[in-house]
Amino acid sequence: MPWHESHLKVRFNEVDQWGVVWYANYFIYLEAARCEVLEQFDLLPDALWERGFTAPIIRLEADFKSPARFNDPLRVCLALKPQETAKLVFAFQIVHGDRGHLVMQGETEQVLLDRRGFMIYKLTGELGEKIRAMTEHLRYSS
Amino acid sequence: MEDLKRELKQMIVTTLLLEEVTPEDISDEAPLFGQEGLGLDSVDALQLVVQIENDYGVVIENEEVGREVFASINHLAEYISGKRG
Repeated sequence: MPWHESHLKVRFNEVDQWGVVWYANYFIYLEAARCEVLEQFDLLPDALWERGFTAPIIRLEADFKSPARFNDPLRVCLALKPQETAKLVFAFQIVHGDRGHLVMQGETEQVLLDRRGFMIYKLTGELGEKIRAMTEHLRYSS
Repeated sequence: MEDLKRELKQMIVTTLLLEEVTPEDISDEAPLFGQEGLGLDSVDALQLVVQIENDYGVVIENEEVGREVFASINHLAEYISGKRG
């Protein structure tokens, strides 16, 4: 399965007073994993900006299945859902590294804007090629 | 042109799965985006652009062009018929 995997351990400063990961910190884990993928394809936010684009998130979906605790090993898995439109839709799962159960899952949706803030309707040129290559590499399969 | 406008209204309703709007509800002049008209948003445009390219072979590259083209059904029909020659 062509999911990108990133590994981490829950830090003390990421848990709440009940000892479980505070809900929004999972998105930090997700973002770190996403950056690993984007770097492979030279599509990190700064590289994207140099080409004249930004990729804001316009939708986020998350199901929290089971809490993670301090020092738990976690595996963040990412895949890209192929799109007909000029969007990037990452599917993600965060899985407990030892026990293998699902901690959370969901997806994020991004559009592409040019430097003036106009949305790109069609992926063309080098950017289009890179995004297509990344989608092929990380093609989502359930 | 009237046939094209009817087709486009049907295409919008079908593509965006609009449940409370029928093609007949969409006027030729009203803006497609924003609360004053049909109330579509910029992400709806992404889907319409793909459908328009599939149906008519006409490409709308970005939102800058899209703002003009999607100003109303009249604008959209004129743009498509102009590009199709």
